[in-house]
Amino acid sequence: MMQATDDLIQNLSGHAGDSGNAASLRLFLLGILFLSFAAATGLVWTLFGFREDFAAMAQAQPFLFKVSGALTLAAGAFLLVRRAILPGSGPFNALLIIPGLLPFLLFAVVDPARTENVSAFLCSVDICVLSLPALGLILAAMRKGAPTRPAQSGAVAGLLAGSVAAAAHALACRNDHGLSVLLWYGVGIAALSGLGALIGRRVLRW
Amino acid sequence: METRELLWAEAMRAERQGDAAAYQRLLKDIATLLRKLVRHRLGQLGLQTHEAEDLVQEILIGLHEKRHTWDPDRPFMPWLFAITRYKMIDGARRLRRDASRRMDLTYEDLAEIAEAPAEDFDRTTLDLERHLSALPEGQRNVVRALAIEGASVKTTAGRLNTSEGAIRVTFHRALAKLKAAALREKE
Repeated sequence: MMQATDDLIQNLSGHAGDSGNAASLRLFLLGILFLSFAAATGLVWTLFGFREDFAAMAQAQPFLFKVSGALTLAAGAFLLVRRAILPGSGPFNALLIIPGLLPFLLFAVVDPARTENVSAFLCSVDICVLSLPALGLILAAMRKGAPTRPAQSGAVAGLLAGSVAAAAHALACRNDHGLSVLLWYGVGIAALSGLGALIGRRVLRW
Repeated sequence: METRELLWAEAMRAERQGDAAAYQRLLKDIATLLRKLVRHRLGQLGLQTHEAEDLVQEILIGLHEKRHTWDPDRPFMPWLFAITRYKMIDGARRLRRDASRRMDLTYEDLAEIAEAPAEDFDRTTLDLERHLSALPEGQRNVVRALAIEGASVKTTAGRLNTSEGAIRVTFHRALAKLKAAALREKE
C-alpha cells in the first residue's frame, strides 16, 4: 500500500507548476461579484422596473440607507466568502457583517420618511427571487476554491447573494418605512443564508 | 514546526515554478506526517487502520488539486492543516457510510447464507485468481485495487493516472465479464 502512495506521489509531482494561484482566484471572485450585481439589477429592471420617481428617490434618505446598508453588508460577506475558499487566509469572523447592519438599524431608529407602516412581506420574497442568479454564480465560483466548511461557506454565499439582491431591490422598492425595511430585508437575506447553507453542504464538497 | 514551515513553503514555491523533484520530496514528507496522524486517529475511533493509507492518499490528492488556493504570501502550515482537517472528516464520513452499506442486509443475503453449503476457502481464492487472470491487464488492475485491496475510486484513479469515470467504466466492464465467466462455469 505504501508503494501505491509512492506511485501516486510520482504521478502528482509530474503536474508540478500547472496549477493556478490564489491571486487569480481572488480576481475571478471579484468579477463574479460584479456579474452578480449586474444580474440582480437586470432582473429588478425586467421584473419590477425602477421606481418612477427615480431621480428624487435616489437622493432621499430611505434609499441611501437601504443601498449603503446592503452594499456594506455585501462587502463584509464578500470578505467572508473569500476567506472561506482560501484555507488559512483568515478566520471566519462574524463581526465583519456588523458594519452592514448599522445603516439598517439607524434607518429603523431615525425613519426619515415617516410613512405609514407598510406590511412589506413581499420585499423578502422579491429579494429571494432576485438573488437566485447571484447565489448560483457565487456557489459555482466557490467550487474553484477549497471551502473546508461547506455549510458555513454556503451560508456566507447566501448572505452575499442576499445583500447584492437587496441593493438591487432598493432601486424598485417602495417601502420607505425604516423598521419594515429592517425586518423584511432581514428576513429575505437570512432566508437566503439558510438556503445557501443547505445547498452549500452538498455542492461545496470536494 | 518553524523550520518545517520554511522548508515546506519553499518547496511549494518551487512547485509553482515547475520543480517536480522538490514537489515530490514535499509530498513524501507530508505523506509521512499524515500517515502517523491518520493511523493514530483511525485507531482512536475504532475504525480499521488498514484504511489509513487510502485516506492518506485522498488527502494528498485533495491538497494537490487545491494547491492553487495557497497564497505564497501566507504561512503554509495553517493551509495544510485546514485541507487535512477537511479531508479527514470527509474520509471518516465515507468510512462510516461504507460500513453501513456493507452491513446492510437483504432477505436474499440471509437466505443465500442459510442455504449455502460450507465453502472451501482455498478453492474460492484460487477461483478468484483464475478468473482475474482471464481479464485484460487494465481491468485486472482496477478490480484488484477496488474489490480486493478495497481502495476508493478516487485513489485508484490517482494511482493509475486516469479519471474516476474511466475507473468506474472499467470496473463495470470487468464485473460483467467476471459474471459471464461465472455463469458459463455453472452451466
